Amino acid sequence: MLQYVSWICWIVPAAGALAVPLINILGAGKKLQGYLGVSSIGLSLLLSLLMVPPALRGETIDFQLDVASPLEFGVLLDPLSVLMAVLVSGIGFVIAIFSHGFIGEDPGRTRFWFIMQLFISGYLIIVLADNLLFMFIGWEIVGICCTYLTSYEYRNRNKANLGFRVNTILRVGDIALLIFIVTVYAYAGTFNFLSLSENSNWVVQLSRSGILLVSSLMFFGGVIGKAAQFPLHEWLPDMLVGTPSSSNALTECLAGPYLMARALPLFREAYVSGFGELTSFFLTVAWTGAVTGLLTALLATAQRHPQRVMAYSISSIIGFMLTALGLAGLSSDIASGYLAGTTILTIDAFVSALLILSTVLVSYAVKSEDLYHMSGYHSKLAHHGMEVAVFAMINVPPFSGFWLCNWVQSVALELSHVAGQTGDLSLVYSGYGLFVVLILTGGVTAFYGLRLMGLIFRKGSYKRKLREIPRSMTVSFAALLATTMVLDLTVPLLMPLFNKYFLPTVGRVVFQNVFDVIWYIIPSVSTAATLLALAVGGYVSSQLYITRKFDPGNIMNKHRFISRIHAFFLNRCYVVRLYEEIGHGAVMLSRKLYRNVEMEGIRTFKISGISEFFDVAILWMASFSQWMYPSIELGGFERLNQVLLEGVTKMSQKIRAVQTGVLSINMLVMLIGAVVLAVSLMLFGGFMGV
Amino acid sequence: MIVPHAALLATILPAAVGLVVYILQRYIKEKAGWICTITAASSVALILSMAKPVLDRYNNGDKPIVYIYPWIKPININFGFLVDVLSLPVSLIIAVVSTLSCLYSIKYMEKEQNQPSYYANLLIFMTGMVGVTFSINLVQFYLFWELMLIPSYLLISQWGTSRRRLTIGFKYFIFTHMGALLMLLGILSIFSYTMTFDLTELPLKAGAIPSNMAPVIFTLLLLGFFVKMAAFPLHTWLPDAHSEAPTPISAMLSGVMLKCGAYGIARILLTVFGARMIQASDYLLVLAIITMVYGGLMAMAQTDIKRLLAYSSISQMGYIIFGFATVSTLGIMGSLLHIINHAICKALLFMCAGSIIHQTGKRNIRSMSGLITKMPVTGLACLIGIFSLAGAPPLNAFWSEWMIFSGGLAAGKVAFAFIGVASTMITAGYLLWFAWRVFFGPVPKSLKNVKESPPLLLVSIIVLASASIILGVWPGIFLEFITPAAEVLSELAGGS
Repeated sequence: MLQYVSWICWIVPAAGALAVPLINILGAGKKLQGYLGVSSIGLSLLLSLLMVPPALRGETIDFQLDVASPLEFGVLLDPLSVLMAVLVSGIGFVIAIFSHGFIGEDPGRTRFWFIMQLFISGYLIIVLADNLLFMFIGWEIVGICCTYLTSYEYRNRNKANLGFRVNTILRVGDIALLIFIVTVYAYAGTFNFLSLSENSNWVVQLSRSGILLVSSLMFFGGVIGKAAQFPLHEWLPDMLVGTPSSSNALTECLAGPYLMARALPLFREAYVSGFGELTSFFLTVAWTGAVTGLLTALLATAQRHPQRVMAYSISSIIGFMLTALGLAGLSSDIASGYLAGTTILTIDAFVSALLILSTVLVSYAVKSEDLYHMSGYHSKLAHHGMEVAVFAMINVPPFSGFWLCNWVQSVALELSHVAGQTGDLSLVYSGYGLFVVLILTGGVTAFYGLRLMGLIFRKGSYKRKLREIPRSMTVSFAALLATTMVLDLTVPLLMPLFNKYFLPTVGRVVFQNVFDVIWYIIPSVSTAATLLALAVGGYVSSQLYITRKFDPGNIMNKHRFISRIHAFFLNRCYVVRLYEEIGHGAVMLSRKLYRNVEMEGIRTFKISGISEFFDVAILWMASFSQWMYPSIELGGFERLNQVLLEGVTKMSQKIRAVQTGVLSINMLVMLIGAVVLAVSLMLFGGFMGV
Repeated sequence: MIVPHAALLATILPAAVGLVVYILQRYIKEKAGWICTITAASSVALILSMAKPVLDRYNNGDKPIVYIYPWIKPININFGFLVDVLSLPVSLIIAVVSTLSCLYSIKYMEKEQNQPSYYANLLIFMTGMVGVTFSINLVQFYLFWELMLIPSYLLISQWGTSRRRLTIGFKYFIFTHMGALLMLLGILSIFSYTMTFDLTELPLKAGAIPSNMAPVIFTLLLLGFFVKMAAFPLHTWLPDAHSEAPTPISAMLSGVMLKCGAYGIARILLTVFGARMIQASDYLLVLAIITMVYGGLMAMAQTDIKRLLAYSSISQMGYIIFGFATVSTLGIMGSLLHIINHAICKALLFMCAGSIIHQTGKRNIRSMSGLITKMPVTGLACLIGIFSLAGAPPLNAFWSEWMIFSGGLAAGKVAFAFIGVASTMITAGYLLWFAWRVFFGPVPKSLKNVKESPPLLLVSIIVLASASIILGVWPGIFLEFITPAAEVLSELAGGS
């Protein structure tokens, strides 16, 4: 029973995707495609909920299909995959209802619902797959869906090009991940997660070949690509700007931290059993997360497009998750970091969805995608939604961000303490460094979070005509708001529950109950620092954007360096420029090669080369033959023939006299002949056998 | 149940019908296309009918299906057909692509002159390729190898698209013929030592070739195959020939003719010269990577649709060489599978390009934009082909690509495999640029009146695009044959 559920769960949306174009061909109702999409994703949600009970019992079940050797297909049910399946289909369901209103009877709706369902299906494959290969298939399906969602308005050249860029950036990560996957297969002979963790001989082999670190970094490259982390983070803003109803990107990039969480126990086991090179791997993970967190938070401070702010905030929060997971690998035990990472993953899925949908709601109503053109719009629902989401994001107690950030920061500090006892200085400095970066990120987040709210819900009256928001959008939004609020405010209660849920993986109880959590978080250095950062960032932002005591424009005019920094962040740190330069460079290189090597080569290789060699050879042969024909053929053989002919003719004319019967000469010749015959017989007779 | 003489019929039937069509052209005229399509399709059916028995025989441990017809008795050479797990999938894809090209030609070539003679040549070309894969001995292999050259030369130089077609046809002829002659030299040298041409006996008698001659013969054969495959730096004939040939013929040239070279490597070099393959492995891998990267970069510099695809084929041949050069089961499996997958994708892409050229009258990528609105079916099919070649699952070419590179790792060539995978970025780069440039964006004024291609053109395109998806979702269909073939080959070659 469960076996079928886990398969049907991701097959249903795929089948729904195939049915959408059919509906279009049959010309059935205009809204039918939307209903189909919503219900197929809803069915997935129901089916994934059915998988929860065994996961609660901590069971790990692997349903494999029996296929030929290098291929593997299978579905894995364990706490992590079930949690993710519920998350993906649940948020997917809300977004589907929301999009049903947003897309409405748009002429591109067939495309939209096709891609949307395929996207959810691919995503479920990622989280439910029991092996790397099958997971990679889902991974790529999701990537392609993203590309097409970004290029949804493909008639607009700029938006179409965004899709191209998204795909190219994602592909860099995908290639890195593929390298890891084929490496693992070559050394382990299997893609299966369970087999890989049971038999870690492949790690030994990789380490012996000296490529353990390289291949693990390749793996992380894949994670970076999907999770929109530095330096591959720029696809996410592009995607959110291009996608209609903007909502898919969120779950898309959670695939990155999911994969990290999935593989973390594998790497951790190897690390503990003495493969020291993995220290660098975990440090890279933690630092990439932290640096991305800070960088993207800074980038978010300068953006005018609400979806770009959203995108950078998502990258920033995912940075926190990766830092937590990286720390989990390095710490004395995996539990705290792993739990912090997965808890943020879960809660943030809702928070970010809420945040995105609230800005989409506002953008939809005011028909604008510029933060500075939204002031004066009033909507209680959107306002509350954004409040809940932003407060969670900027670590206001008692919202979720406060607890979770402090958790990660405390883990970083713990790492420093523990490493201090063993004397590992790199880890000590890393722990403190990460802590500082995370605190700074908190401050910057507070700044841009309040800026966002201040700009959107600025006082004033909105003059232009507003667009009516369809019911399905408000209903789904309200449902998401309610769910998120509950989750958001109950995080301290949820943390022990998560601990219990993931007990089979982490193997240790960190928090028995809610009091443990409060005792762990509240009286700590981390909390004080967090609140300080919040106060500073929040104060500056509120002065600039909420109470408006100072005008940001004036400040920038006064202080050139601030405006320069602003321009630097507004231009996205020129990372996009860099990508473009690289792409441009590759094309230029290929053109130069084509012009100077390929074509020129063909032209100049005439003497020694390959291609036109034949032309030259034939030319040579032709001229040779042209020389040969008059000089050898005509002048030699032909002339010889002529000479012979003439000679024979002359001879015969002379000999003719002989043949005409002059007797004396005949007799004479006969005599000579007889003599010659006689002499020859005497000389050669024996030899000739006579 | 097998049709009696199935292999003989599958091979000879197209050429025979081609000749009949040519002789009776006055009476046939417009029907030539349909007659030839049906003939080619029946060849596909004949090959398919042998699929099950071949597999059963392999699984039961029996010998492969062999047909023998006495031919040149004095020197004991038979005319024969060897149908096993290796030759069957390759010949099947050749026949399928040829059939679809033939069907595609009916509409695409309808305004051309001398149609019966065009179809006759196409069918003889097909016989040449199918014959190469089924040949049981090297003499016959060479004979069919040359048989595919002549009609393809005529097709390029007679029905080519530009004024340069005669020059280009000539270059193509000379180039591939030189390659074939080198191969012939190799074949004759093999005979002088082993006293047999028979491909089933040769692997056992390989020891008779003296060790100082083996590298020479190996190189001769390799050069012959590489010219056909257009490996760097023997590739210069390909871009011209493939871009100037009429589109259905480009699909056949790029899709399947190049694969005859790859088949030769698998059939002769891996079985007879396994040790040399392993010796040369590193050099071949370097060559493969250069071919991949160079072909890809050249494709990136193109603005002509068909020329871009032609260079892309060179790059893809690099992948196939890579897999064989690793001499590992996985790599060989990947290469064999890529023979099939690339045939499907490249034929699909050429046909899509043909459909675009047919409807817009343009070939320059820069002058196109937003065509997916005007030609949705072509556009979608083309995107499927592009994503497949770029290695995106669940489309077909993904499977072969990872196997090829995993094979590199299995053989311990870590650095090569990493560089190889990284170079797929170039493939993705030029293909996606092509897709975005041609299909997305606003529709320019000059293309306002463009319409979707007629259904007859689209049939082949849809079939190939569906094949790409189906083989992506069920890669096992061909792997049933290819996995055992790769195991046998790598065992014979002594690889890992």
